[in-house]
Amino acid sequence: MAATPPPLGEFEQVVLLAILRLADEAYGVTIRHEIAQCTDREPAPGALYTTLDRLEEKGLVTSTYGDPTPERGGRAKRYFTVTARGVHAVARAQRAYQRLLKGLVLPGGARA
Amino acid sequence: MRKDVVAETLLSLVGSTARSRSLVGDLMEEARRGRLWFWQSVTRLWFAMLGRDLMRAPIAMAIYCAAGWFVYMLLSLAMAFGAYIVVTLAWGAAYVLANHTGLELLTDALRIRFDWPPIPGAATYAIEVAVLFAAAPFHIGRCSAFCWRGHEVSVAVVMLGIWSLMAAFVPLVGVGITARPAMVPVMVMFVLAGALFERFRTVT
Repeated sequence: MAATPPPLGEFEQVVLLAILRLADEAYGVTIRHEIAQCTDREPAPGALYTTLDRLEEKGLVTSTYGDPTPERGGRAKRYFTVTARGVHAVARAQRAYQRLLKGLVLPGGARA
Repeated sequence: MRKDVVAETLLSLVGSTARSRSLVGDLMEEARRGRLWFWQSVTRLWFAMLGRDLMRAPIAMAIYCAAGWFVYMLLSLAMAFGAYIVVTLAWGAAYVLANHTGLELLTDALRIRFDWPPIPGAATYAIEVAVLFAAAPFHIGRCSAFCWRGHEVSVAVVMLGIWSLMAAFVPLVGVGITARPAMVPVMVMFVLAGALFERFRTVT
């Protein structure tokens, strides 16, 4: 039986979902753009890259280096992929949110 | 030197070289945001990576730094001893050549006995200060660039704390002056200078 995935912070979930959305094109720049586009807030590079490293240490994402490209001064892109454990963790966290929101009536009468 | 090379070198002091290269590549891709944004991002990344590196294995790093103090002590003693021999011989040779005739030199050489006054106290002090506070820490820094590649700054930060303690409780023996805790920041600066020197030497 697979071990229970670690609990995720909000930004960790955002990053995992952005990587899942980008599929094979997920590297630092595109992840940042995807987050900015979907959440209307641009993460600082320091916050994003340390989160990516933390997720990799937890075994929720893996990274591989691509081929060097001239527009990056001959530097390789570091591509990220969400592992099965990562998918499990983010799905679990999202289900928890949904359970919390289910049937919730917000102040003012609006439904969540 | 180009800004990307400088940024890459700085980031590689707090993370792996491959990772630093890809990070700088990402920042270069967004170069249209301007120079200020680039350096702001490098600075934030640098501190974030340093903090993360420090938190990864603080106990192991502290143990390595404590061990490094004893390496530093041995290195200081060896270097100070070597420097004494070189300076004493140079001083003696200069004195003998300046104050002896050729015949006196020959008789001294036959008796294997050269008389010259001891080297001045100021020179002894200068040797000790240079070795203890600059030369030995510089070489420790060069070693750290090999042993702790990608963690040089974290090691220097931990060293600052551990070496201050070690300087207070484990003073140097056999050399005229001791490494006081107040001098540790200077020593750590030379450690960093040694690490940077080695990093730039291998990059260029």
